[in-house]
Amino acid sequence: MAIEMNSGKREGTLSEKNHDLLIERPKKEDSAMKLEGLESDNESESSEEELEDKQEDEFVAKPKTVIRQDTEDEEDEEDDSEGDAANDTEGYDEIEEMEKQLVGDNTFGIDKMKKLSPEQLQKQQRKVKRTGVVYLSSIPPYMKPTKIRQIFSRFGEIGRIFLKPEDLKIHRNRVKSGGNKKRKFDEGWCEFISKKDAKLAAFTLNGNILGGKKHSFYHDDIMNVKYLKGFKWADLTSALNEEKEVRESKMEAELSLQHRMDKAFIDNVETSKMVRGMEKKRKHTDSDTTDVRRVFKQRSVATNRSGAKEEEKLRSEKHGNLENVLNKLL
Amino acid sequence: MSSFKAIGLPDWLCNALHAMRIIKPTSIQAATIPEILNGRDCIGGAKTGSGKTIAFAAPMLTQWAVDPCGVFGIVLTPTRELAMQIADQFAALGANVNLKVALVIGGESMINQTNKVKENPDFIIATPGRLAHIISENPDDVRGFSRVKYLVLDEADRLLTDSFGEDLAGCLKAIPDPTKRQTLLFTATVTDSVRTLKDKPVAEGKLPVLLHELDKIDDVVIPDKLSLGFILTPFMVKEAMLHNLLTSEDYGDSSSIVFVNRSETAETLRRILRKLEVRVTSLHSQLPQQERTNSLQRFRAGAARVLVTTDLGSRGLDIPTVQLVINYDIPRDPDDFIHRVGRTARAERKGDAISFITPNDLTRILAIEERIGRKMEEYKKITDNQVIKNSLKATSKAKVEARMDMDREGFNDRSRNRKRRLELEAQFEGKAPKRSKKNIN
Repeated sequence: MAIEMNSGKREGTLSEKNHDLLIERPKKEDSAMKLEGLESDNESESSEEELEDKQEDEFVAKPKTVIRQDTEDEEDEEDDSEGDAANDTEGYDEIEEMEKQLVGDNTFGIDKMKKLSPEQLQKQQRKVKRTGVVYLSSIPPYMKPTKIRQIFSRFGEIGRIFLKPEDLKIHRNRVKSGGNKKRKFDEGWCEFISKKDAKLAAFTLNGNILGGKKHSFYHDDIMNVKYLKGFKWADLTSALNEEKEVRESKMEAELSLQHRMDKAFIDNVETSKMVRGMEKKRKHTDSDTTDVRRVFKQRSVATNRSGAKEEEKLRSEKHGNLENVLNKLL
Repeated sequence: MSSFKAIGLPDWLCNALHAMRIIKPTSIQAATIPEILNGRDCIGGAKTGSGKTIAFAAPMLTQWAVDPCGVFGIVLTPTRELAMQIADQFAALGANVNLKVALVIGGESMINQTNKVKENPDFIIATPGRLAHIISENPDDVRGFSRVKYLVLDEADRLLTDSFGEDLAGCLKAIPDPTKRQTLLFTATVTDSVRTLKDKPVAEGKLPVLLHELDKIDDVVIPDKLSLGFILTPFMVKEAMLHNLLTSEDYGDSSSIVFVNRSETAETLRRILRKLEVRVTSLHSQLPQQERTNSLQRFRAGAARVLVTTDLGSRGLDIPTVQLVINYDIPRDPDDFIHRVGRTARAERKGDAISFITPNDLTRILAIEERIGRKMEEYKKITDNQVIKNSLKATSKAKVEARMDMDREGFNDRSRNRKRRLELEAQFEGKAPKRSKKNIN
C-alpha cells in the first residue's frame, strides 16, 4: 500500500517531531494524499463499520479478529485476545475494577515468562521490544474502544487498548440534566504489535478529521494521537503494579503478625487449661496454693453526674461559655 | 389523672394523640403538662422512652394554638438523629392544624435551612451547632426569634457540657431573656450544671421552677427482664469473640446493637463483620449525615440486623426489636452504660446485655456495678475453644483486610483534616493582628 511506503520514509523524523501532541504536518500535500488513500480503504470497510454501529450498544464489545491473519505463535495470540477482551470491556466498569484488571493483565509480565523456556523467553522479549504505544489525549465524544480498535487496525495489528472513562460524577450530572447517557472517555492508550504501525497511525491521524462517509457519526471528529517513544504497555501499569506489590507485602506482614497473635492466644488457652488441671490435682493433696497475680493498668472512670464520688468526676477546664449559658438559661 | 383532656389539653390535640394510639398520659406527662400550661419553668428528670417528647410538645402546641406568633418554640437536642425523631413527632401531632416545623441540623444544606428559618416556622427543632452558625451568619433572618415563648433543652445533661457551651451561648444570643420565655429542661442525670440551675434563686416576676422526679432519677432501676452478662477476653481476640457471639445459636438471627467507644473501631468492626457476611450497618460521627440517616433506617427496617455504633446511638434511639446489646468497649462514664443497655428490654420486653471485659476494664466494671447496684454474671455459652474453632482465623484475615482498606481509603483523613483546620483557625484568630501588622510593614 501507498501508506506504508510513506511511513517508511518518515520513520526517523517522526519520533523526534512527535514530542508535541499538536505537531504541524510536514507537508500538506502528503497528508491529503494519505487521506485519499485512507478513504479508499474506508470504502471497503464501510459495511463493517455500519455493522459495528449497530452493535455499539452491546455492553461487552468483542474484539474484531479480522486482522489476525499471520499466525506466528498461537499461544501468544490467545493471550492477546484475552487481554483485548478484558480491556475492551473495561470502559464500562468501575474505575477501581479497571485498575485491578489493568494490573492483573500483564500478558508480557514476568510471572508468565518464568514458565517459558529460554528460547521462548527470548522470542517473547523480542516481541515486546517490537511493540509501540500511542497516546490519545482526547477521545471523540462517546467513541468506544471497539471503534478505536477499528480505526487503528487500518494501520496494523492492535494489541491492547485502554480508555479512561470520564468521572462518574460528571456523567451522573450530565444524565441528570438531560444530557447524553452514553459514557465518554477522557484519554487513552493503544498498543500496536509493531511500532512501525504505531508511528504511522500517529503521523496519519494526529490533528486530522476522521473522515470516512460524510454521514458517519465521527466524520468531523479530530483525533489527537501521539506516538510515545520508547514506551511499552508495561510502563503504563508499572506504577499500579508497584503499588499493588507494596500493598501485598504489607498485607502479608500484617497477616503474619496477626497469626502470631492468634497463636499466642491459642497457646494461652491451652496453658490455662493445663494450669487449671494441675490446680485441681493439687487441691486434693494440699490446700494452700500460691496465687500469682498480674497487675494491669486500669482505664479511668469519669462522669459528670453530680452525685458521683469526687475522684470519679470528669475534670475539665472551666470555660466561661457554659457558666454564661447557665446564668442566662433560667 | 386519667386522660389528656383532664390535664388541660384541647380537643384537637387529644384527637391527634388518640390517632397515634396515645390515650393515657404517663406519669411525667400528667405531672408536668398542667404546670407548664400554667407558665412555670420545668426541670424534668426522665429517661428516653418515658414519653417526655409529648410532655413538652403538648403544652407548647396548646399555647401555640391559642396565639400563634412568629417562632413560638425552639427545641435543642444533642444529636441530629434525636432531632429528627422529635421533628417527626411534632409533625405527626400537628398534622391537622397546619403546623410548620423546621429541622435545623448539621450535615445538611445550610441554605435550605436558612430559608426555612426565614419563613418563621412555628417550631424549630435544632442541634445547637448549626443553629448558632445560622444565627451568627444571618442575624437578619432570625429576627423572628425575638418572640420565642418556649425553649426546650432535651437531654440537658448532655447539652450543658463544655462541648456544647459555645454553641448554646450563640443560640441564646438571639432568644429573649428568661423572664420573657419559658424554659423546659429534661435530663437523665443530675450533673453539676443541672444542679446549679436547680439551686438558682427564682427571678423576679417568675413562678418557681417545677422539679419533676429530679431526685429519683439517680436511683436507676435496670429492668428485671434485662439480663446482664459479661465475657472475659483478651483485647486481641475481641473481634473473633464478637463474631462468634453474633453467629451463636442464641443470637444467630436476633437484632443487636454493638457499642464501641470510638468511630474508628465502629468502622473497622462494620467492615470486618461485613466481610464475614453478617448483615451489619454502623452509626458514628465520621459518616456523612446521609449515611447516618440511611444506616439507622436500615436497622429500623430490619435490613441490617447488627448496628455498630458509638455513644451517638446510646440515647434516644427507640427500636423495640433489639434483643441484645453488646458493650464491645466499656464506657468511661457509668451512666453511659445505663443509657446503652437501655436500648433493649424496652416496654416490658426481654433483653440481654453482654459486656466484653479486658484486663484493663476492671475498675470501670466495678464502678458500673456499684452505680447500678447489680452484679453481672459471666456468659458461659461462648468458650475459647469455640472461638478458636469457628471465628479466629476468618476474623483475623478480615481484620487485616479491613484495616488495609481503611488505610487506603483514608478513613481518618476527614477527622484529621478537621482537627488541622480548627487548629489553623485558632492560630489565625490568635495571631491575626500580628500578621496584619507584618503585612503593613
